[in-house]
Amino acid sequence: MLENLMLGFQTALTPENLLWCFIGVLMGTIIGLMPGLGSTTGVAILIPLTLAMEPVTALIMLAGIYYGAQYGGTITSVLISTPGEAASVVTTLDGYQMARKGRAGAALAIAAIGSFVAAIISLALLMALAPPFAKLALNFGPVENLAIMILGLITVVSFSGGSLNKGLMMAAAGLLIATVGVAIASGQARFTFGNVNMLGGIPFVEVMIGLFALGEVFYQIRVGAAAPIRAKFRDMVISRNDLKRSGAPIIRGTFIGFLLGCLPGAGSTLASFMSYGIEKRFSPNRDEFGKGAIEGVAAPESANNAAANANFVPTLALGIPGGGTTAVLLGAFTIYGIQPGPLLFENQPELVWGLLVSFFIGNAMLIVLNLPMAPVFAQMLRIPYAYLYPIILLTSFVGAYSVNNNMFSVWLVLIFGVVGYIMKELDLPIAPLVLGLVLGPLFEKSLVQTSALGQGSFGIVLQSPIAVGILIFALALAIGPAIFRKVKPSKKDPALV
Amino acid sequence: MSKIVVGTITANIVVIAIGVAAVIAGVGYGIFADNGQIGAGFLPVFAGSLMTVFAALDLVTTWRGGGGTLEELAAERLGLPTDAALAPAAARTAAAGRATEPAVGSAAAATSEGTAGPAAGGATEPAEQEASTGIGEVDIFGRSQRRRNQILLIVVGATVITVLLVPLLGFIVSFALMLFGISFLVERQKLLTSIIVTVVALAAIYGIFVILLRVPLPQGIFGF
Repeated sequence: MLENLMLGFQTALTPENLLWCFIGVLMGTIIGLMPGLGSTTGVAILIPLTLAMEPVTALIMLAGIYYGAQYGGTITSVLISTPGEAASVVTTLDGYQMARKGRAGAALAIAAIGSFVAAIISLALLMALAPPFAKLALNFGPVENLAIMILGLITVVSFSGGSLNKGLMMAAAGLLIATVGVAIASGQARFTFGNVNMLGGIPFVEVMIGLFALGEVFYQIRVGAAAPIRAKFRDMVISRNDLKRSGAPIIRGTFIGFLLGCLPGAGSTLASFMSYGIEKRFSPNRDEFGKGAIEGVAAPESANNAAANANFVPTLALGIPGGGTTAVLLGAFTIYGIQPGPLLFENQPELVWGLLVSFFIGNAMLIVLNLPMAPVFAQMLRIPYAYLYPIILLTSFVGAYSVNNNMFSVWLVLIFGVVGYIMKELDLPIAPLVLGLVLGPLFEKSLVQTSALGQGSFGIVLQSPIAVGILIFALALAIGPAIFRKVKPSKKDPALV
Repeated sequence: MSKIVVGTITANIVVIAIGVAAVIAGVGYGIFADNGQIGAGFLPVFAGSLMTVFAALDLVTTWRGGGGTLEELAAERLGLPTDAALAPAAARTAAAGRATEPAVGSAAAATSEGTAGPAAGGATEPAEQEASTGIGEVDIFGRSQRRRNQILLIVVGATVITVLLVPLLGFIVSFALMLFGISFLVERQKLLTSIIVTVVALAAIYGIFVILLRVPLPQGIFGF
């Protein structure tokens, strides 16, 4: 353990990695605070920039964007009540009210402190939990992997919001997109329509950039711009009383966030909603909720940060993304030629531990950046969207082009941009589609291997107790809540709400 | 029937069509290989049938007027009592961000044109912002929903034309035209600012991608 940490520090503390870590968290903060630019979009657009880097440096920077965006999203939520990140939606409830009472500084400070505390605790847990998980998964054969893939697909779908049908429909669509190209089973070309560019499959980065970046820009144009404001920062100092009130909610938020973040797909949005709901029900100051209670900022902000880190448990240990952004990051792994999964800890200890240690460094940078600099970042909100979105479009297309140096990528981005826009308009969840796309090839591989092992029969799945256990767990996650709802209708009793 | 219902049903039908097509194609590729193992068509058939089934189920639900918000469903799935206060409040506050009170609107619009007027600070205070609206109303620049829909169509169209022009004019020139066109003509920003933003953005892209990363961006008749 200590050895691994040392290795991690050695990797993360090189001047180059430190610099890119800083650039990552800084850009993450900015990306998070721009309304309509989330961490998923940011990472997707910036992957092409990292292609020339060492994989570990690239991943350190991209991960920095991911957790940096959590801090940035808070600034927008508090100041203009428009979350830059879905995970910051609940922060608008009390954060914005605090800002209106002239306490924007205190809200941002407690959010930064809560996020930092949550990050440190959840990182320690992540470092302790991910390696044993990976070790366990090392013994997994194709059969167990198949069960894990099914679990991953089902959890993402059941937690990704909206209706279950829509989620499953989109996950299946992602799987279908993943089948384009040469089939691993037989080498046949599938769905290429005679186009040479399609033989290698639909490239991942282009789809991400289209769905997230372009789709979001088109959607924002139709929704209309957010009102820029000038916030008053009387001081970033928070009172002793504020700290005392926030302590317990921060700790509770951290653990709720971590637990939910460990489940593939549950993610930070759900974590922030849940921790807010729990504080609202049990806090001694629950009457103040919605009117500017500091607990209402501290708890969800800690939860979403803890969940963001916990997302790396399934991502690194099993190779199953925890959410949208980690799915894009997993895509990045494969672009750098790294096979994500349990073997990562064995084969690439430098990369894994360097990345994990960089989270500590990045979060330390973020709190130093955010406490005094929040008013400066807030100025960024004054950049008119009219200039911002053409630049986002430009960057998306250049980035897409530079992955494979061809115009086919550019057209793909455009097509998936329109698809992404329609999905946003119709409230069709994008995350399951991304997951289907990422897991598709792995899913097919484990299917083919399993059927080869069983000589055409899937009966061997039943011979693995681990696989059966995982499948039962998956089934419980998928149908359990629905049954629970039917059995206990009293849960919806208005008196309880 | 609301537009979103019509849209959802249309999307469902499209997904069903794709799903069915995938199943047919998958059967053609061969679901199983000769030795009984998984063939090239297995996953297309699997994904296609799932798409068809769940799109059909969603179609029925939509037709009956079902569905709920993300927060409600998430709470329900976890077996928590649905926090009714939470979801609408979140929606309301989120909507408040795109506040539409005309008074606030003009102040904010002034800021957006680069005059850092103190009036913009007013947007923090007014309580009437609370009673604001979301989609379907006039936004802070005083644009109607109709106008915003128009802008969306123009921007999508402009993007397609830009990409079509790349082989002729080159990447840099085509996108310079797009950037300038959108900011000056569509978004009606100031001429000078539009030019500066366009030049700076393209110069930065050229510097990073062409010079630093050596990406061979398509060149047009101008030779760059």
